[in-house]
Amino acid sequence: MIEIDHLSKRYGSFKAVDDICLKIDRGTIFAFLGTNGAGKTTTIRMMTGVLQPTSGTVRIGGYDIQKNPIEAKFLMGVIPDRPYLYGKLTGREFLLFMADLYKVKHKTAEERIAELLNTYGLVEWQNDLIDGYSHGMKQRLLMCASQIHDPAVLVVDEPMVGLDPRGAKLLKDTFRKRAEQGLTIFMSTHSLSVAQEVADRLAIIQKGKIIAEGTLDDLYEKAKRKASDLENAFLHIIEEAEAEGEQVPPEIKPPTA
Amino acid sequence: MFSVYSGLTGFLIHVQENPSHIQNVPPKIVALALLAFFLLLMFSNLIACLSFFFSARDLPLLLSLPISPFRLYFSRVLIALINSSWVILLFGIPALMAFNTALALDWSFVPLACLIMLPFLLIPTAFSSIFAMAFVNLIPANRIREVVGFLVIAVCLGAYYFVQKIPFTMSSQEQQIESILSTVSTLSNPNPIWVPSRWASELIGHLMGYPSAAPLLHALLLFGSAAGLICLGFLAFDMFFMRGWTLSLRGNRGPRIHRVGMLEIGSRWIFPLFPQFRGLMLKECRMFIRDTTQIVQLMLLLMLTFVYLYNFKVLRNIALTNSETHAWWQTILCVANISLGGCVVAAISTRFVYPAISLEGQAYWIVRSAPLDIKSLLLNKFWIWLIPISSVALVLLVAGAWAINVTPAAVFLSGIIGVALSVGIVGLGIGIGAVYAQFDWESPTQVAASFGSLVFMLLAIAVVMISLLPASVLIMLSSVPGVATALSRLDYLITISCASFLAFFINFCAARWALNAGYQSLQAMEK
Repeated sequence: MIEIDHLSKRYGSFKAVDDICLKIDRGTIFAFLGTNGAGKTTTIRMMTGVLQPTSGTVRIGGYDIQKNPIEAKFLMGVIPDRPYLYGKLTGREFLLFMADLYKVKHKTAEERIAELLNTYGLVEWQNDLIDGYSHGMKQRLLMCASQIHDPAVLVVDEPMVGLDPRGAKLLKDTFRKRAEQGLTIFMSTHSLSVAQEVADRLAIIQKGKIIAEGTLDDLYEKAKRKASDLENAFLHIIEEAEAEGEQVPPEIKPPTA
Repeated sequence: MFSVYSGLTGFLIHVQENPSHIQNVPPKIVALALLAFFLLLMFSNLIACLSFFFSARDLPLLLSLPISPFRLYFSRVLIALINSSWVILLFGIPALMAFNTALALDWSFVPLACLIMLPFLLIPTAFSSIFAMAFVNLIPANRIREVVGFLVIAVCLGAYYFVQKIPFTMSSQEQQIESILSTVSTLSNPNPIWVPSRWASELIGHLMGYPSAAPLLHALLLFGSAAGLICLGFLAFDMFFMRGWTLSLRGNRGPRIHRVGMLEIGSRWIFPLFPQFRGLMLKECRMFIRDTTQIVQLMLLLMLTFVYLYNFKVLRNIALTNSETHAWWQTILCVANISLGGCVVAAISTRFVYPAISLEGQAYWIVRSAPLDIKSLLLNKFWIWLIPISSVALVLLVAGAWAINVTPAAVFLSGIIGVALSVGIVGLGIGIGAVYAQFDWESPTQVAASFGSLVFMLLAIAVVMISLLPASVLIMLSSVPGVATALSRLDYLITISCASFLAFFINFCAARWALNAGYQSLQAMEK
């Protein structure tokens, strides 16, 4: 469903994303992990067609995002890391606007809006201006908006930011349920526990390169079974990459004994 | 700037060469200009202060930092001052230099006049800061739109009163520029004694060599008022800002909106096959109606339109001219109506059309990640704004033409040209707005007062001026009987068709060029 082929993005001599290749099947929850500035958001921005790659291709459902952006975007729902929305619209108006952008028929849109608002607990707030929403509510509204056209692929950047524990659990449950129905989810996150809990496959990106990719077990194996959970596996793989000559930003360096 | 300097210098030199009874024209011109500037400054400062003091994005961060109220107030006043006054300074300084050259004044004239302009610019900002504190503290957030509506009516009535006070009449003898200058020279200073533009104009006139009765008193009033209002503004800020800020935050939650408006139902019936256009149009309308700063800017639109139409009422006196020149005068005035009306439409578009792309703000990612390419986005925005702007252009040009009693054909053609001009102006507004797009604005007023808006305004005026060539041919053919009868029926129709086509072609080319430039610029942002 998602094919990333030798994707690169350079800013002058700086390689933000360096020749990454990924293939993600239908109904997979894919967690994209990495340190700050590793290239996660740049990759997502290229996947969603808001940034042009220097080289390489991204195909969504067989459509090249550069050559057939409209067709590819119809298959995709996007949730960015920061919930910038139109504050002067109500939640319901915003969802109707999104339905119009994705050419969803009005009757279908009304039905889906009612269902999504109910699922994400926003029924009571649907007629309030978005300006008055909390960060978590905006995040939940974005979840509704991204699914208004029943996409085949969901691209999510930092899904848990601003969500309370109940919202986070709701999101994880919804992800699992929707993936079972065939939705492919590409999720970039810092939250390793979430990735460990819901992801079918994972990849770790560092300095623009994929340094590990596979199932949770594959990652433990790459970490030479020294790890007991994803956090330790992640840190071990990063350390290994560092030892191989890659430098890790100091703020995320694991504390030494 | 150079055009302002050279044009005004030439005009003033011409004035200097005239008989002695009109020698006091330069200070009267300064007085009229400062009065107009003062009204404009009051408007733009009111909008800027409401916006920078209560809805700027950086306020939550600034309020959480250890910044003294004194510094915060002055930084906000400074931002509002710069945003509201930079255009006036940009054109005011070359104008002062023109006076200096034409009247052969001392080198110190320009610096001293600039010094006088400083409190003149500061007074509206300081006053507006006090107004903003009172407005937000006294008016409940959910009643702001009603109050703004009331203000719109009050401002229109005020403008009507002001325009009536200017003793300008036109007779058949006053057709030459000297007669008009003579009329200006006989005007008493149009500024009431209590208005700061009066004090500033008296002082600048004094520097020009037209002695004022009490220059020291005027200087004291000007500088004293500026200092006093700033102190009062700071006191008001210190006492009432936090309360107003809290109230404005409560207002953010706003009323619950359950209604499915006529707009939504109507748009579904009218545009069933264009859901993306419908969605964008509904979003633009809703955000416009609910944005207080945009609504306040409507005051500017209404006042501008009102003053424009009122001025054209004066031109009914054209009927007094003799029958030989009557049709020619009507043609000239009808063409003037098109050019001035076009400029008014361009000014309105600077406030509303030019910012249309930038106002997507940080939410721009929504339309970019949706299945809507940049070209479609620009075209959708173009059509959304073409409807209201061409309606305004139609009303202005048709009403103006009708006011001077031109032939029905000329009224009709004025309307056609109005639509053609709207195509060019709206295309330029969306396109140039995309070229200079800034999505990380702190306040919406920042966009309309940016350098890009000045570029747009100048380009729009250039397009209006170029369009005057086919427009003049059309109006001449439709209102001067001799010209039309000199042509055969076929030649007449061919000329009318070619001129109409040219008017649309010029504007279509301008719109296409600007939209392409905007497309390239937005695409370059994604590289």
